[in-house]
Amino acid sequence: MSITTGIMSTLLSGLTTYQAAISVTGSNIANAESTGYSRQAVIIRSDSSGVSNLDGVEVAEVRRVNDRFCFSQVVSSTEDMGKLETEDKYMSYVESVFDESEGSGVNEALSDFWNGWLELVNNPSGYAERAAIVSGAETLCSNLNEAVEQLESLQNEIDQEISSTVDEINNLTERIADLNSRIAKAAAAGKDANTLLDSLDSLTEELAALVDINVSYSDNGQAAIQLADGKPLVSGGRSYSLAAEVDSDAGSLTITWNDGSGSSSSVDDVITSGALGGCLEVRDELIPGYLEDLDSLAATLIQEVNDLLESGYDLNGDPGTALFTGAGAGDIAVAQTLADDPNLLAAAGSESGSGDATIAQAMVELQDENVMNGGTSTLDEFYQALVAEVGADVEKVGDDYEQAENIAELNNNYRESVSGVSVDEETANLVLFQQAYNASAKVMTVLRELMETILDL
Amino acid sequence: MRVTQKMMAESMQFWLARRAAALYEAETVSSTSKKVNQPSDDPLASGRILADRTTLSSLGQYLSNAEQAQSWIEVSETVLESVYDLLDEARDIAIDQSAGDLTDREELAQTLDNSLAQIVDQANTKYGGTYLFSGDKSEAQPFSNEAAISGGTAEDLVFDLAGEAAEVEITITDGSGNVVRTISLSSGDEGTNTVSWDGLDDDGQALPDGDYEFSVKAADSSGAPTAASPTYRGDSGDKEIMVGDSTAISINTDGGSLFGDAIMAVSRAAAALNAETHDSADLDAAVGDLDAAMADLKKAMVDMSLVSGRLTATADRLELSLDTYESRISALETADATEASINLETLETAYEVTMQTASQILGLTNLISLI
Repeated sequence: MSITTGIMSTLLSGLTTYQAAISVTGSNIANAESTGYSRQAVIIRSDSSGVSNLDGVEVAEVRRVNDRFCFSQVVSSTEDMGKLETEDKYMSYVESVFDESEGSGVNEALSDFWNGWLELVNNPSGYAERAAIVSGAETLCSNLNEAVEQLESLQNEIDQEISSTVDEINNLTERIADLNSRIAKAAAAGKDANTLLDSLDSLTEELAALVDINVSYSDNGQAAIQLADGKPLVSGGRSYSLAAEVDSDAGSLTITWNDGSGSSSSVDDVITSGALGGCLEVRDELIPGYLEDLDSLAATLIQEVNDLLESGYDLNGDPGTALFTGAGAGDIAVAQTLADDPNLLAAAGSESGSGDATIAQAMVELQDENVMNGGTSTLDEFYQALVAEVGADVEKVGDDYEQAENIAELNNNYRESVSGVSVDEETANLVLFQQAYNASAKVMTVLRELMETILDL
Repeated sequence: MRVTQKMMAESMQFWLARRAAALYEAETVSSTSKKVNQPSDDPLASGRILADRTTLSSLGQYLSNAEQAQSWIEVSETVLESVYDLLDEARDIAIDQSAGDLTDREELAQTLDNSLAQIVDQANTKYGGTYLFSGDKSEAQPFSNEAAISGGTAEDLVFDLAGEAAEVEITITDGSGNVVRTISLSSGDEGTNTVSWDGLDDDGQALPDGDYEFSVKAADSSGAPTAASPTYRGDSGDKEIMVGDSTAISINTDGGSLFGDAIMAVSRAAAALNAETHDSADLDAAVGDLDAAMADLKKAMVDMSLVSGRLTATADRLELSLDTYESRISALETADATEASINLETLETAYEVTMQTASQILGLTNLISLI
């Protein structure tokens, strides 16, 4: 066969190959700052399929440089970050409910309550001292009511976040399913799907920040995404949706998964990480624990104080009546009868003595009685321990969050190290490809001169 | 490891943010002068600070109680001293008269009557709106010769007699001092007597609601006068002052035990001097009663001064505790100003260094510009 056509076609393959390589390099440089862009490596190989027995060259592959393990690590730390960021945010609100560093909170109100009784012991027939006790009791009740109100309203806010997060998740899974279809088509047509794969990773990462997922890949690059217990969220070109529905028992939202054919099941227990996991943890584990403790405190206070008062006598010589109404911290209040007439507050142990301070004294001693925690702490100690517990929980979330940030930073760095574009590297490649292109072009020039010589003969 | 420009830029941003966060925390500590600005800053310390604040508050209350109690005791001690002096005077008069010099008998009888009235007044001292010496019945006047009519019903007339009487005459006067009724009885018991009154005056008319006073004169079967004195209306309760979590100091407020015998003794002496016939035996008996009453009163005065001493010691101890707790809270809560400002400076420097590094990194030239 003709030397010229053989050499020509070989040189042509060189030109086209290096032109392509330069364009990929250009694409890399342009996307050096793009989020989620994996650099594309041009794999150049000799091509012996040509008509002559000379080897040409071809772009064997434009390979997307990406490490699956790296990415899975990133997904994992994204989930943790999503969870802890959400928890950190809500816990700082919880902390403010219990923050008494400037004074004036439940601890101070309790303290004032006990002191009020101490004053009454001094002057058991006094009206002013009784009025002060009733007023102090009202402050204590409103402080407890407020704490419960704030915690419950926080739970409502979390519900709102859950609802909008579920919407976001559904949006993401739909888009991922759509990408899956397009990836499958591209693979079937033998085309590169690098940009699509980058978008897939991007969306997967966004999804992981919201809810914890298991990701696996099929041979053609499609992603199969499942919840922690295996329920599918995306399978091939199909997505499954989540919904946030009102649970009539709990009064709050519960998250359900739809299998697409009409049946749904609750997945509250399945979701443990991501922003959704953080929301559930704070709403269903942490806050209810604190509410329970507040209720326990209030219930015991109500019972002990009322029992003591009902065993005594007021200024009129009548048997004492209850000071507190309600069952827990949310509804504890001062009985209207006593609010209207503090003289009905019992201080005496017997009917006749207006100077008798037996009950008032017993009330003072109640402050130091271990009536909480199965007889191991006083009311004051119980609340103080609760505040310390909240503080410790908040501190832990904060520390965990910082730690998760560190790990996420590491993982991101490693991914960037593998897939990121180094402009210097690309520049060097650019120079190499350009020179190779020039070399091929130069050979063509020489060949033309050869042919010209022959033609001139 | 392969490092891209993007990695360097992101890493620098990460650390800049971290430094800024640390700086922010240090600024908060510095400006509030507190190490613990919220429970999560130091959970254990937070719990302790709250507990200490509660204790501090209680201590303050106990101190206030102790101080109030001291005022109460001071007034009580003054009363006891006055009564003692009056008893002493009465005793001198009784001894004098018993010896037989009868020149000023009428005058001295009058003096004793006045002394009796004064002692009863002292026993009825009020402090802060309640009676000092009526035990737990702090609204009731300790020794009273009053009977009120309310809602048309008259109270019973209650009084004490030194011995059995064969004649008792009760004279009831209204608020303006007019005698409205005289009741005569043919017998009276030793000790407390309760006589019911129908609330009618001498003409059988119902008297209007109000406060009325009565006085009692009695004589025994031989015509010798029997002393009468007001009955103690209070009870034996004492005043408890709480000065510690389970520490209470008791102050004697039992007027009956403090003054009952003294009043009866002076009453006896007065009755003896007011009697038509002079009887030394009666006066001697009165002196004996007065001696006993004075001895008892002396004991009570000693007891009361001991209580006063305890209260002062307790108050001092409480003040010391207050100081201790205040220091403790401060130690837990307050940031050392010097330490905080040094820390702040260190972090500011670190932040500046990070920023300088960042600017250097950002300014690095690319290969492209060198080709």
